[in-house]
Amino acid sequence: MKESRITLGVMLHARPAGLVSRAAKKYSAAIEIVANGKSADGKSIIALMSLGAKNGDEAIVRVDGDGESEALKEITAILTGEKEK
Amino acid sequence: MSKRRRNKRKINGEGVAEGFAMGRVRLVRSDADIEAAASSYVTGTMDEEMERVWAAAETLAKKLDDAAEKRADDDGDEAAILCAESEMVTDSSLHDAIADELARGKSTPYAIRNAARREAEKIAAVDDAYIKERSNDVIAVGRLLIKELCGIADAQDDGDGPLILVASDATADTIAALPEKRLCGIMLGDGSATCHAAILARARGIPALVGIGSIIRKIEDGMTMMVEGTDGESFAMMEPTDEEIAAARESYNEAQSDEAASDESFGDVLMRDDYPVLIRGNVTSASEIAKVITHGADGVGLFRSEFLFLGRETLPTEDEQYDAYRKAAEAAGSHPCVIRLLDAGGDKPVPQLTSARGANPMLDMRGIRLLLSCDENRAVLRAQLKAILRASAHGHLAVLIPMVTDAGDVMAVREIIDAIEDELRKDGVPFDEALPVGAMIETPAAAVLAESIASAADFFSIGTNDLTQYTLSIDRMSADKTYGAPAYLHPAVLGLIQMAIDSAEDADIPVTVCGEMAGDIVAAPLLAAMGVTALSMDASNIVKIQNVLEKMTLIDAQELLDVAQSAKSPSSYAEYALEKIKSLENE
Repeated sequence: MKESRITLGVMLHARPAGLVSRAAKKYSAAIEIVANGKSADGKSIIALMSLGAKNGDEAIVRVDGDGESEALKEITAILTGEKEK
Repeated sequence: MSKRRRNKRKINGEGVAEGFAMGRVRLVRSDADIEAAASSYVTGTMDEEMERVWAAAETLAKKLDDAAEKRADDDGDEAAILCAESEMVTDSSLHDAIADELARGKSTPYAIRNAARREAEKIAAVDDAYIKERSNDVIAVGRLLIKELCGIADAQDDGDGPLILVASDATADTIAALPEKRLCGIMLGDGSATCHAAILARARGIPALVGIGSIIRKIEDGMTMMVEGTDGESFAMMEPTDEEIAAARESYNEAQSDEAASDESFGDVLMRDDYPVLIRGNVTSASEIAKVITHGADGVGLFRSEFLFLGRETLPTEDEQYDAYRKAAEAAGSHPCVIRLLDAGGDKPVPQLTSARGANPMLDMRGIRLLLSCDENRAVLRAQLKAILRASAHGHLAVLIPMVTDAGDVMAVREIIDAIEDELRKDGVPFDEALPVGAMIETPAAAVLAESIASAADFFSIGTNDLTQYTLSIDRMSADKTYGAPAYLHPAVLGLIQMAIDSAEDADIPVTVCGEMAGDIVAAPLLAAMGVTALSMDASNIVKIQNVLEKMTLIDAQELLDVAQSAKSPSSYAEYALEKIKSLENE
């Protein structure tokens, strides 16, 4: 398992959350995002939106399974806003 | 005797916007259509249903992804929204909830609906207004999935060619979602002359038929449709033959040239005794302004800015608005152009605004109250005012405040304008120092307080559609049916309009009427007799109103007003007025 503690650079409304869930589904590894005292399945856009997380909030990304490092890198890049699109 | 055969492809309806159009049908299903399909769905075993739901979800997700790919180049925003919707359709959390609802014995369409609601509630529980509003997207996605499952999915866009919108009912949102350049006609199962679809159709100069009834079930997506909208009884034809098209086009053109022959364009119409009444146009975008001016209008009495805000995910930026208002100012040229501030709420929701929704949408926060209700909304108002002020340097703009209830609303807007003006002066940005600020008189409260509002405002604009429904406590759609004639002819409404006009006269400020009433031949003379400065209406009504007013004197109009004020019912007045107008025409 790998995890990384980050500061969100985006607000998790429909579009950004959709980018995260779409990227997360490419990996077989389990991906969990913790923010705002709640935890969400990184592959579920609805769960991600339900976090109600905004830019500036602290978050933890946990990845467990095949391709951990790559998945962690891609998901944190979206969440920190480094990866636009 | 030859047997008369009824043409089964012919559809009769009430014409509420004039014009002639041919296009492909774009069928938009309403909630009632979905309900009907859902209630007749046959639910199989749990496994079968989960499989069917998943298959429908995958098909729908693929459609959304394809649509996103098509838009990716010219509208990245739109593409990202479609991708997000596609993610929602296949969301594991949503499908778990559907399984749970099925296990409780719900039929599949209702299982999807309930599951979408449950998931939406999770998002609605978030304590951020913007994310909270997105919970509606989940409900909308659930609806798409039900449609896909029941085989009543909306057709995919073929990319070009004119479209005829067909729906049992259409909100402003539905129409704003269709490409403006391609929408060339509207047909509604229900609807009335004052519904938003009708207003929009008249503003854009495209034909609209309402009340076509149950024949709507026979209309299929993608079929060719010919629509001929005239005032009153009109018709449409499914898959018309070449002969039918030629015949309809000819008769329509003949009727048009008769009208054009009597069309002499000038801004202010003179009644027969030289009493002047200005005629202005109602528009929803700058592109419609040229049309109202060629129809003979003295500029724009109502620019409905809400159409800049509807049918999109993000609010238009100040610069985007500035471009739109500047274009409007330039298109109106030496004529005035009155921009109504964002009139959101009620049947024109703008989800990006912060609002608390009550049980009755007509009595939710609307107009200026909504814009002043919190800091977030005030920021939206401020951006709009700044865009208008910047654009005011390019023509003759005016600001109109919707849903005013007292003078305080006007003062509040003026304060914001003053602050923006200071800023612009400091930055050396040019603007019209004398930008007029007007108040909509469309609540009974505003009519009663017209005297004090007149001391704060530079002009009045009476919105008769809302004033009528708030005065008589009857929904616009049902009002006309109740009275057998337009409900604004009711003496109670006429009384409030008179109060507003009298107060404007006392304060020496101009007063315009911009509701449907101004474009109605039996009502326009009443407004002239009450003393309005200008009548503002949809492009398609301008010539008709000019013709009627030119043929009567102010005395004739005053006589009509006397009759209307003491009429037994709006319908008895309407009958009388039509007779009178006919007799004046024959004189």
